[in-house]
Amino acid sequence: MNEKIAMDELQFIKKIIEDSKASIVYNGKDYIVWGLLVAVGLLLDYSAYVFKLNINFILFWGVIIGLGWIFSFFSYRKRKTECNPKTFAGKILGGVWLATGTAMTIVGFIGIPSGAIPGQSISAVLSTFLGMAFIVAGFIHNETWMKYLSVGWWIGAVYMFFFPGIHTVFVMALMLICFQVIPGIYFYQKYKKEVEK
Amino acid sequence: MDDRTAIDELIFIRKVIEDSKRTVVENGIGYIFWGILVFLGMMSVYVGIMFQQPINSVWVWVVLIGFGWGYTIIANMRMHNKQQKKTFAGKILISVWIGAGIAMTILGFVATASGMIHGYAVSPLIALVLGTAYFISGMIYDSQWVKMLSVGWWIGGIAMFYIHNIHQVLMMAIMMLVLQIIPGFIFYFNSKNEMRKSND
Repeated sequence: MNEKIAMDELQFIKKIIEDSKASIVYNGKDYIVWGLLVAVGLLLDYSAYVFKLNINFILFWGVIIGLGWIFSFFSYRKRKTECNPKTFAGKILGGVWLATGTAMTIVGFIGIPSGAIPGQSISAVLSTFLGMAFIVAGFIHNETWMKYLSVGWWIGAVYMFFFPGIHTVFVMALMLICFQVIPGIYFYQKYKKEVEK
Repeated sequence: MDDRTAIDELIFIRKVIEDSKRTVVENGIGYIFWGILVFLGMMSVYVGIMFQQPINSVWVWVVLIGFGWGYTIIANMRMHNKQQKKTFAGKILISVWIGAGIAMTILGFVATASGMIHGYAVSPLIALVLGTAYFISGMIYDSQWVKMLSVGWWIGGIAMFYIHNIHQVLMMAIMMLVLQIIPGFIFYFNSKNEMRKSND
């Protein structure tokens, strides 16, 4: 092996490492969009309950969650064309949210209509799933504070299990803003700085 | 950088990459251990109800899951002492199963104790958590068949949402056997082969 080949190999390895670093610079848009969509949905849900509006909740949440999935699909396609080859960390992060999203969609759209899960415990159940996703995402982003967000989701879930009621809609909306939208904005700012660099 | 240094650097990097690969080779013991624990719990509850035996199912689960967590914590502490450096993939894998374990404990104990979740909603919810964990693990192992296990868990979870009787417990026990214990043994034998190859 001569020096030229060795240098080429090292440059290739350096490129892979730089790609991996770039993937951790995440733009946070999914956190912001999903967080805001569900928070707005919860507040509309609450308004419908208070003002006794006769709306089809399955259809209502079908539209909200459908919009979220459409956004994630186009966001994924955009990232795929912009960032090729996809890095290991990026792939796993995508997998974490795809799997968690699938599980939460099943809970909401099959668990509740089947009668197995009472509608008023949905926020607590989903918080439990979100806690799982955030602990893994924290390890991927290598952000300790993000790992602690999962503790926040789980404490919130336990609270909502023991203190059920319509106020849990507000608790969930607040948790979405604090534990998802604000971290999403943090990632977005960090991403913009990295892009400027 | 001269020729010799460049080669040394490459050898070092290759070694690091190979070490990383080895730490992601799953030995399957955790899957087998937890799978058998939950299988035993499910079967004892099923047999207790079917044959009207005075078995306190809450205590069965407290003892089994408590033992499972105790063993897992001690085993991880021992591994932590032996193995100083953990790879990125290894760390994510641990976080997946710690997250799944905490989520399942909340759904199994806290949710039912609060009265907000009926007993027959626990198995489908746990199946959904396991589906999520298997999907992410499959991505980390870069293994298509492990990812496909998640589909099995999710389909099983959907089916169990509609089974509101004791047969749901039997179904969960069978799923635990097919989608966790058997894959655990596959991991175990694959890791044995991998170790044999690396020793040769």
